[in-house]
Amino acid sequence: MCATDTRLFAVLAVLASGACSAGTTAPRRFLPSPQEAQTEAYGAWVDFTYAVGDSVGRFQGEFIAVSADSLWAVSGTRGLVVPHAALRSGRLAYFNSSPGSVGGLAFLGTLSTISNGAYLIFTAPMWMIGGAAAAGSQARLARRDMTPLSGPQLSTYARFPQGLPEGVELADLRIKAISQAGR
Amino acid sequence: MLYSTYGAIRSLTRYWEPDMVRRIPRFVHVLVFVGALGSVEACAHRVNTRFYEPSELATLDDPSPFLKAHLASGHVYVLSAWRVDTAAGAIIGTGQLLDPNRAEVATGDFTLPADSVRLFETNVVSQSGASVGLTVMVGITAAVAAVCAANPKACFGSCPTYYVEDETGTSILQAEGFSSSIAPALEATDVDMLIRARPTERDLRVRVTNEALETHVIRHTDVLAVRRPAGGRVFVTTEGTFLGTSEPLAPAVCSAPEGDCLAAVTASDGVERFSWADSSDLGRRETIDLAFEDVPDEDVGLVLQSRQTLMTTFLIYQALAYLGHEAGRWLAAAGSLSADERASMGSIERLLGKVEVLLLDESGEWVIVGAAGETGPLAADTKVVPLAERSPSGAPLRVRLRLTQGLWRLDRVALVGLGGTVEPVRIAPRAVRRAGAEDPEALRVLVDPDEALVTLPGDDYELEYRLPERPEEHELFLEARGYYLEWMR
Repeated sequence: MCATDTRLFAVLAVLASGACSAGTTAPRRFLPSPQEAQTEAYGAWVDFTYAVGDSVGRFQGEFIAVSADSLWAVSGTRGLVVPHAALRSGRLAYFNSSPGSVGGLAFLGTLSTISNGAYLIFTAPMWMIGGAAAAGSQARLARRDMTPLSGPQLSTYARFPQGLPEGVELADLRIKAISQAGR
Repeated sequence: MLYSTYGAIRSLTRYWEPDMVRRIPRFVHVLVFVGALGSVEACAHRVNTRFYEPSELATLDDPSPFLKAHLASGHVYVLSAWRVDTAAGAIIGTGQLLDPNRAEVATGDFTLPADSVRLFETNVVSQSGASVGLTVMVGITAAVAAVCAANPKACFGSCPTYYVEDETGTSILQAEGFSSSIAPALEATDVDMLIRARPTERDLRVRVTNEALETHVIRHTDVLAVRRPAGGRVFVTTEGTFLGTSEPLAPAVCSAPEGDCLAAVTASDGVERFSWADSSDLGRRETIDLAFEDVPDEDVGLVLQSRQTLMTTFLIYQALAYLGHEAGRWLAAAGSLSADERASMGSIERLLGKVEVLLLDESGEWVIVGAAGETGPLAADTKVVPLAERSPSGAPLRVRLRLTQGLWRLDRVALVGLGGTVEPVRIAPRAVRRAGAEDPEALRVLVDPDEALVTLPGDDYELEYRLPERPEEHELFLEARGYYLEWMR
């Protein structure tokens, strides 16, 4: 493959996967597909930073619950309760919107413009630009920035949208099983 | 930008030939795009989640196939086939009860009093905005592809195209007329060998079509018939001299930068040798080395059957694109240019060059002895290049071809023993038909040297020629003169 083609396919690959790279740190298969999300009852994957005294901590794990002043989350090794005031920034992802598949389709769509003859001058860029935009849009569907969201808005994505149940201890909660998550 | 655009198009079209789309059955086109639509439908979804308080029981979202009922204890029911019993103030459904760690506690049919539930959750999966966008793009691409499949040259080609029956009686594209004559000032005469024509009767029918968004001005289209020498063929040089020859001899060796190329150039079978253009210099040359054994002990010539890739097409259209709104005025003004200025219009052709034929001289240097190659990516053109020098009798004859990388598709290279010059018989059409009916006006303008047949997109004429006695013993050529005007696609 010569240099020009390497560049072309590199561009297409970046366009196709751009949305994915800007996505989530969730372990592979942690996030349910849209269909699985209808029946699963776990929380979203959260990745946030928070103030710990003068330093900043980072936490990645499953979003458990939120109240008017605090947020609960668990990882494979620990649970964490963070006051809203300490939350610096963060992002959550609540289902796998398959932006890579959309990017792959955009790539195939770009290739399919070979059937358009000279008009691929118009349709190929349409697929490259439109496909990248579609992949980006698809990735954003399942993502939310946590900091502008209020407690009630965040609760939508928690395992317990009704709030942390009485009698349930954070230490007793387990993150979505690793084997179930495909790791 | 020019190179990157060309590179992208070239990458997309490496395995594409101008009439390839037409050769693909239309149901395949349909299947491909239906498949694409199906893929879009299958992969680009969104989840719309809604929560309801128990007091909102009556407004629960019916389209949701599953219902989650979150309890104050942290347990959750996940129900399918659920329904609201408004009178009883309850939810009835089948499913499972999960504990706070989402381990299954119970399965079966459940009836849940609304007041036992803290929160109801519905999830409806629907097509995402990306799905809509992709569907629109699939539709646009499919529509353009359908247009191209129905009228391939509106998308892929140019120039008047000539169809003549081959040895099996199938009408195939055998010639394209005056491909580089894109303005009246560039009107030219073009001779194409009808190498696969095998007439068995004296009436020869040639279809000439305008399948592009162009206006074709055809001054004349004559058939040139030459009787073959016994056991031989007749080929024409780039200068228009017809030479009787022996039967073509295939090379014993063909060595190109990518390796052995013998299989591609041995026969006139549509299997072509071509290469990729250079990524930074579209004018970069490459060489192909040939060797012939059992060379006849007489003057010899090299037969080249070739056509161009889409590089020239791309460059011409890109040049027109650079001219923008000035393109029409520029082409119109070309008619009043001086000879020198007009010559500059052929700079693309000069820069890219033809297929040069080289032989070793006495000092061991490769020297150019001739060249061949005609503009146009559709029909292969066949020419013979006389070789001025030759190896001592009995030794293999080594020939080198030097050509612009990525510009040429070589279908056949062969050596022939050269006989004498032969004169063709010029045959003007004796009848012209359009849609099955005689068209005497079209015939009149085609045979009148002061007139021309003007065709528009979709025009399709059948020209009939009366060949000499024993047509099967004749080699046929098509001579067309004219020019064409792009509709600035």
